[in-house]
Amino acid sequence: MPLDHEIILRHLFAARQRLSAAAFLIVRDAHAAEDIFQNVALKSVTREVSFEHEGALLSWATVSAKREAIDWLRKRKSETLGLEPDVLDLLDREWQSKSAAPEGPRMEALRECLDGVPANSRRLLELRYFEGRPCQEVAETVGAGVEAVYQRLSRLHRQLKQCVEQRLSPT
Amino acid sequence: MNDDLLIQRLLDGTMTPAEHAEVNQRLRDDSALREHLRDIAEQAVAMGDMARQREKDTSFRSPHSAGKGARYSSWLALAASLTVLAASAWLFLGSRESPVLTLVDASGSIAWSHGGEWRTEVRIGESMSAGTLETVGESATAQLQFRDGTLIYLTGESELSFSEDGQKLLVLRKGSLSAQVKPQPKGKPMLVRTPSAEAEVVGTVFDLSTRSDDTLLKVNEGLVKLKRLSDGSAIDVPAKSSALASLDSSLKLNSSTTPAPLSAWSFDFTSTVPPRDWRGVWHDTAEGGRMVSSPYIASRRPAENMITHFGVSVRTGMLNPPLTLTATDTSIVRYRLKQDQPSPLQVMLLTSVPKKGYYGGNFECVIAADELKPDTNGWCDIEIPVSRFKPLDQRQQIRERHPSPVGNILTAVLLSSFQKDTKLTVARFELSATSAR
Repeated sequence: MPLDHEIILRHLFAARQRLSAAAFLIVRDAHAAEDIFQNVALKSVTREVSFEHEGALLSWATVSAKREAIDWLRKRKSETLGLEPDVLDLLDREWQSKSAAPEGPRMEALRECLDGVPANSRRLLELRYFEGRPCQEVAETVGAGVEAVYQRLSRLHRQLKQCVEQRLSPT
Repeated sequence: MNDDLLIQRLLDGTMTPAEHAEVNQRLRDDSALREHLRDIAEQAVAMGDMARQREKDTSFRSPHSAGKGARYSSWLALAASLTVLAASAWLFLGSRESPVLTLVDASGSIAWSHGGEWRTEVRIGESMSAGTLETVGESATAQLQFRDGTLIYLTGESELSFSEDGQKLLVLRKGSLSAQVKPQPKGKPMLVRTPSAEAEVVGTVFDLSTRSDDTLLKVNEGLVKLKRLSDGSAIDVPAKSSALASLDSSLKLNSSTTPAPLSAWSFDFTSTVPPRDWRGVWHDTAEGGRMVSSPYIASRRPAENMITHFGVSVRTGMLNPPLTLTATDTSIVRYRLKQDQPSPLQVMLLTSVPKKGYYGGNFECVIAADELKPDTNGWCDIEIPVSRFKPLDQRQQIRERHPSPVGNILTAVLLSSFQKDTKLTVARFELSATSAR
């Protein structure tokens, strides 16, 4: 029996972080990634598609999000270089293989870690990912060189990853 | 180059072709690097979520704060999303193939999706079955007509899903619409849903705008029942009144008399945070606020390439309390602006017809670069009398129907640089009916 709309939406929102993050890797714009997820969710309940089980739904959603993201990129950033299709597939496969673990605790840990980021570092992350500014603009705004911004962002990402792992660690 | 820098350049879109090949190969070969990239993507998405949430929760001035005191939890936004999704699904369950709306008039780019089909060319006079219509770009407009004569006017970057199967059902996911609604069958009012509200309409003239956290309703004639989705509370909004339905249910839901139309009004970006739905990015600087242009789709060429301009908009429909700004034959548009290089500018007036709310024409004035006389700090004050604005549409019949903005309502005023980011920065906008100060 096909999944009803409410169940479809529940499954999709449970996988929202992964689907949005996968779209982000293509469009490199957190807001566009969120829009793409919303479009996929809308299509899942408006188009003539039905899903027998969660796996079928999420496979469809993964492919749809990727198509939407590529389409978005084609229209808006056609000249930038991104990930090759085979690399995106590899990332998707690994993502899906880990999706059996619930996203909730991991995302909660990530949010707690982000909460603990110092204000100036948080500002950097916001400029980059919330306001979607290119690193050159971020650099001009914070009065640093673009290479320094790259380095600070890299360091922040690794610190956040470490923080999440510590919070999820049973000890 | 080390992995971290390569990844940052990948995400920043600044890789050279050689670096592009290198980063893809490293990702193929290195599962730890792939895991790191996935972590970054999850962090970026979570950061976007958190920043959006924090912005809604904060009460101090921030570049995109729509207003003060908006507080609600993320589940409300999620619930609103689900509600709109459910409403969208609901309206699509209706008749899919029979024509619902006819495109009466349009300017700029519009797109219609229906049953898996996505079309970017819809002809004037073409009938559309249930689906979603999008006006693409800041200056795009579309006027639509139901079979009973009910008119819908979409403006700016709006997205409207529509259906009619005995009852008119609309979902305005973003943007603004004006409607002139014929009397509806008993027990089957027209319903317009947004992420934060539902309007129930029997027969009336009204304007509706959906913003990030709320819905603005302005009723010109008749009566509209406005329901707030966050708590289900509802009010009747009578003629010449306005109401705001917020996701924040702690705010009182009531209507108030719509302020009288103005022919003189100004907005000072140096001291006031603009609505986040306006085009441009507001920055707070030591010298005061600034609105810096952001890119938007000006039009699409036949081959689907988009023409991008960089603009700053003043959208009157996104203001609370609502603003009705009228162009008169003595109107003068003024800006205080600067650019980082001399470049011509375009000022556009998007207009609607008073009281009826439908399309009144789009008008353009081009300011040559040598007209701009920057002071020693680069700031220019420009004055444009309304007589300089000419119809944007090249079609003769449209130019004859809408020859001038005089007497019309200004739904938006848009200042842009042409296809080039000149870092156009605006400190002040003004419409006045007076000669030079």
